[in-house]
Order: sequence, then structure tokens, then C-alpha cells
Amino acid sequence: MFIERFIKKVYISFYKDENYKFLCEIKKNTKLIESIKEEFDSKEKLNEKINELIDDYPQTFISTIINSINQGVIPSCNKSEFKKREIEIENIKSICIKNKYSIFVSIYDLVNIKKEYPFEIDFLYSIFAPIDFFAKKRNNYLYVLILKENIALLAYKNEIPIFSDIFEIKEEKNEEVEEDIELLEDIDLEEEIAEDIEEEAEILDFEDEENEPASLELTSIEHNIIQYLKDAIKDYYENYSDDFLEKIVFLDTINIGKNLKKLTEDELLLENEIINFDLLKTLNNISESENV
Amino acid sequence: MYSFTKPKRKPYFKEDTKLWLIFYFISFFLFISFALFLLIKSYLYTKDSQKLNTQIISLKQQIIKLNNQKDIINLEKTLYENILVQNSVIKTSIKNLLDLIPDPITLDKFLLSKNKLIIYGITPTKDVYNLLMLPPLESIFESTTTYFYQLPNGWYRFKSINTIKATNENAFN
Repeated sequence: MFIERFIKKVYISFYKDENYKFLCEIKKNTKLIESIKEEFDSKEKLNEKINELIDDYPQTFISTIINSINQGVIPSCNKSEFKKREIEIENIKSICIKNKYSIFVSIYDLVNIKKEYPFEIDFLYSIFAPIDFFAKKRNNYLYVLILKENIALLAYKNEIPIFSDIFEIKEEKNEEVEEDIELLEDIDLEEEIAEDIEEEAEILDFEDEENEPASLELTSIEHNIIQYLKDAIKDYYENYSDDFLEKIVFLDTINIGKNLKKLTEDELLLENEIINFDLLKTLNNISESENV
Repeated sequence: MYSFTKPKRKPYFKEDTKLWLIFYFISFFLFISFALFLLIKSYLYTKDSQKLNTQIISLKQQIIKLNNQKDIINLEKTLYENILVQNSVIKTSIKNLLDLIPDPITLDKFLLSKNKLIIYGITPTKDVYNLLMLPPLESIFESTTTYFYQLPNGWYRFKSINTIKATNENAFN
């Protein structure tokens, strides 16, 4: 419409990943006028900010992702394919993309996320949507979206995503910590002291060698990611494709560090690339393309 | 394409902005209609003034015509008055002339022109005429010529031609 040229459109995207990440882009005739990026500790602050924007701008479009584990991608739009994979059609909502593949999500999660926020969410995407929107090379490529609490994997063959998986990092990380504590309890005090001294020495050596204060937590995340990837790639080769993966593309939203690249090359023997991925901006871009 | 939900149709303006816009549009509409009204009015005024100008021109022409007619009428009036004056002069002249005629003399006819009086009549004797009639005629006119014809009964028919200069045309007064 002619009038749309003169009206400001506001695209808001947010998602919860430890805290609430928020991006607001104010556009006029597809031209970006203002961009506000913030992080909120509480949902109330997020609600307050979004309600403020809704009050100021009637043409506000809010988008977010569903990052629950009950979602996935099916390389077909046919309902029988869902049944083959033992997915109950009654409990999911699916969308067919380009008449070739489907993204589905649990209806329960969909309703829950709508109820979770007092404002109306205009665009609700699966966590795989921004990966698919971003993915340019689509043959034997594995895309890995890294969030603080989740990792989403999407593997392509012949332009179609044939494999998808999602992991929750946080819980497993806690389990690991608990396991460590249990192990520590079992070890004798003398051995413990001796090992502690050795470990400290090793850490100091490591810091000297690398000349960077690498966080232990991040390292454990990287190891976790590699572990997930090993399992996922094993599943991929066994059940989805006979072709080898050419490359892994990490879509990094948390600045994970360069260790992951070397670790992936060493452990998985796969060429890989880490891209700093702006998930919020990608969500806004999808919303803008859908809102034409 | 990717979204599980579709956005609802959203208004372009806030409620109070809508209200303001309505007011703006109404005032703009009023402004435009007033401007149009003024334009039409001015157009009509120009048209009227053109009409009035042509009327003024035609009226001026009529005035010139009427002035001409007035001049003619004035001229006619003057002529009429002159004629009236002349008539009254002639009337007085005739009356004076008739008063001049003594009782024994009978007039047959007389011709009165601007500076000439011709009298035809009968007198018992030339002397009566010369004594009673001639002296007043001679006093009025510059030249008086009288012709006598004797009638069978001994009386005289006479013709008296009296002339006067143009300047003395009011001699009979």
C-alpha cells in the first residue's frame, strides 16, 4: 500500500537463553532507522519494554523461536512420512516449506509459549527456521546453531534438510558437574591433593602455552558439543544418509571461541567453519520477508 | 512461510493519531472547499464584472445616443419656441395691423411676410386712405407704395405694398 511507505514498522525479536535476548528494529519503507539490542534478566522487564513499543508503534511485529526439544524437520510434506517416523500428527503443528519439506513443533509447546507472554506474538518460528533461512549451501552440509541452553542441528542433502536434532546443554552440564562431585567423593584424600596439585600445574602450563585465560566452563561446553555432534553424526550416517558430510557450519550466538574449530577437526575429522550468527536479526529478517 | 502463526492485521495509526488525522482531514477538506468556494466566487465576480463592463460600454453608447437625441430635442424645442414666439409676434402684428385699419376702409385680404406687408382693400376715397391709413403705415415701414383702382361705384380698390428692413421685423410690436 502507498501509505506503508510513510509508516514506521517495528520488528521485535526475542528469545530466552539463560536471560532474555531482545532486538528491536524500527524500519521505514524497508530502511532501518533505529536498532535497539538489549538483554533482560527478567520476563517482566522484557514485557514492559515490548508493551512500551507496542503502545508507541501500532505496526509492531513480534517474533520468537520455540526452543523446546519437541520439534524437528521432515524431508517431505506428506503426512504419511510423519507416521513412518512415529510422530503423532494430532499433537503437532507442521508447516510445509517450498512444497518439499516440513518443520513441525508440538502443539503443547506452541500453546505454552503463546500463554507465556502477555503480548501477542506475531511470528512463532521453530529453532530450525533461522538455520534453514540462513543455509545457502545445501548438499552434505551440517549446520549447528549454538545457544547457551540448546544446540540445534540441521543436515542438508540435495537442497533438502534430511536430518534435524536438538539438544539441551544446561541439564547435561549440571549432570556432569554432579557426576564430578560424586567421583570426587570416592577418591581418597591423599590422591585428591596430589591430583589437585598436578591439575593446577597442568592448568598453569596450559595458560602459559595458549597465552589465553580459557574458561573451564566454555571448554566443557565445547566438549559437550563435540559429544552431541558425535552422537548426532553417528545417527545421521546410520539412519539418514550414506554420503559423507562435507562441512560443519557452526552458527555461533554465544562467542564460543576458536577451540571448537580445532576440536571438531581433531575429534570429528571434518572441515568446519564458525560464523558469528545474529539470531535476532535473522528472525527479524524472516518476519520482514513473511510480512510483505 | 516459516511461522506457525500469522500476524493479525494491524492498524497503521494509534487511536489518538487517528483522531488527529480525522481532524486534520476535516480541516483540510474545509480549507479546500473554502478555497474552491472563493475560486468559484471570484470566477463568477470576474464574469459579472465583464458583463457589467460590456453593459457600461453599451450604456455609454446609449448615453451618447441619448445626448444626441437630447441635443436634437433641445434644438427642436428652441425651434418650437421660436415658432411660438414668431406666432405670437405674428398674432400681435396682425392684431396691431387690424387695429391700424380705420373704420371707413374695408380690407379684402393681406399678405404678411417677414419684411413685407401687402394689403388689399376698399376705401371710399383716396383721401380717407391717405389720411387715416397711410401715416401709420409709413411710420412703421420704410417704403410704402399704394396702387388705387377705381370701382364703378366711385370707391377705390387699393393695393398697398409695404416693405421693411430685416432688422425691423418686430416693427408691428
